[in-house]
Amino acid sequence: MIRYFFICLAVFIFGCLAQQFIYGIQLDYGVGKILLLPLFFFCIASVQNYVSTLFFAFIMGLLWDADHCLTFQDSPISDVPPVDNLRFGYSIFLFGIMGFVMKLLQAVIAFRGLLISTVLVFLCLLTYLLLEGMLFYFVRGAVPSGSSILRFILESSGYTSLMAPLLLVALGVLWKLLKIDLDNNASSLITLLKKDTLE
Amino acid sequence: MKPLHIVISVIFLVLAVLVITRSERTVRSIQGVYLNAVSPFIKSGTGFKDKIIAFNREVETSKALEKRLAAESAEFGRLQATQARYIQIEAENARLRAALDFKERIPFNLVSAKVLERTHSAWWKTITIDKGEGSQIATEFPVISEKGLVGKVDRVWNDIATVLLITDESCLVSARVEGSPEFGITSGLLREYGEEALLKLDYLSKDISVEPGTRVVTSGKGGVFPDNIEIGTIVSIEKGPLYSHAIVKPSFSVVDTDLVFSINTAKK
Repeated sequence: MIRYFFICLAVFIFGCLAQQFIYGIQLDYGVGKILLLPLFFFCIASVQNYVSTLFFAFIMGLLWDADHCLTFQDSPISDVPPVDNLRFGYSIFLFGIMGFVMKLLQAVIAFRGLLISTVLVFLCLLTYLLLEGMLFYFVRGAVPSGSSILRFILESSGYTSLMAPLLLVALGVLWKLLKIDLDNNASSLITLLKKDTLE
Repeated sequence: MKPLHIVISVIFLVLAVLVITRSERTVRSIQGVYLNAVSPFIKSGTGFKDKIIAFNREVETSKALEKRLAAESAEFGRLQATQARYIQIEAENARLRAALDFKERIPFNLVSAKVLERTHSAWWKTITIDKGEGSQIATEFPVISEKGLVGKVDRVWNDIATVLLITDESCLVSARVEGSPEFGITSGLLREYGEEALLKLDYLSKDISVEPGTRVVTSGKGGVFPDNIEIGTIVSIEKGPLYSHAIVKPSFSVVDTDLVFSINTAKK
């Protein structure tokens, strides 16, 4: 199991670097983005045990916030921030919650095949982005009217979750190559692969 | 839930609280380590994108290129004429300044930088540029484009920096309305994602009388942004009982901006 944990960690780091590469490629502004890092987290959370999931949630939150969280600096114009920003580390809590949700969904992912798994990953991404967006606007004290934020969330979740089957299968193949015993919580991929890919 | 899980959950919460209570300085150093590590990947992604764009350009038909060459030759001629006129005016300006004994204005020390990535979330308004401390860029340096003020350097590392855009609500710029005695502070206006960004110019006098379309430029007060950099143009004025505010359309557009310039404002 520990070997599989380190393999998943390596996959996660690969996802982090691939995400940075994809940020550079994405051209359009105003449409949904491919958010590989949360996808990797959700998929890994669906095959790991509770303790490992919390570990990944912690690392995920740190990396996510390091990537884009704003910090206020003293300004000559104003010595107080004009608006509040989310504090660095907020997403550790969010990913912790989402990791817990993934644990609850593990049984469904295990017995319902890749299509349902992809839909579940889509829903988790959607929920995470909604939570983050709501928290951001709550802290800033205003909510934009209209639907384009919702469209961004939907599109981003949609584009990103299209890659979920690939990642789930890859994680399953890695498990198969390692020929290790997973505990009950992490047995989802065995069934998944038997149903959809390997048989 | 097993006892082990409860213990692990408590440890997780304690660690998360420790992280969230870190000082701004610690947070910046964490972000620095992370972005220094991933910057080669952002740059390689941008390089790959550039190759795709270059390839697309190459496959344009020769006829279209010929047409474009003809149009650009005409434009080049026009610009040459304009430049000749500009040189004349500059010389004349220098003579007049010398005659009036004006203090020589310190020229901008500009560092050009390529936009590596635009904000990748609907709620953050930043861009990442391919220059950092290695190119003498520091935090709080103003960033401009050919169209006007873009923002200020927010976080900077060896060869990469992030710029907080003026369209973010947390970016304040001391501004003045051109051709009037009005001064104010601009900040980003909360807008729908993907919609045209707008700014709010606050603290104008309650009986202000300026027309929409009037230019708003930096005032030079506050010490971050040099004066007379174009911010945008006034779209509308909303008068209040104590002071008025104006809605300003910024000159720069995050979609079209690929090359920016950081102004070195460090005191020597």
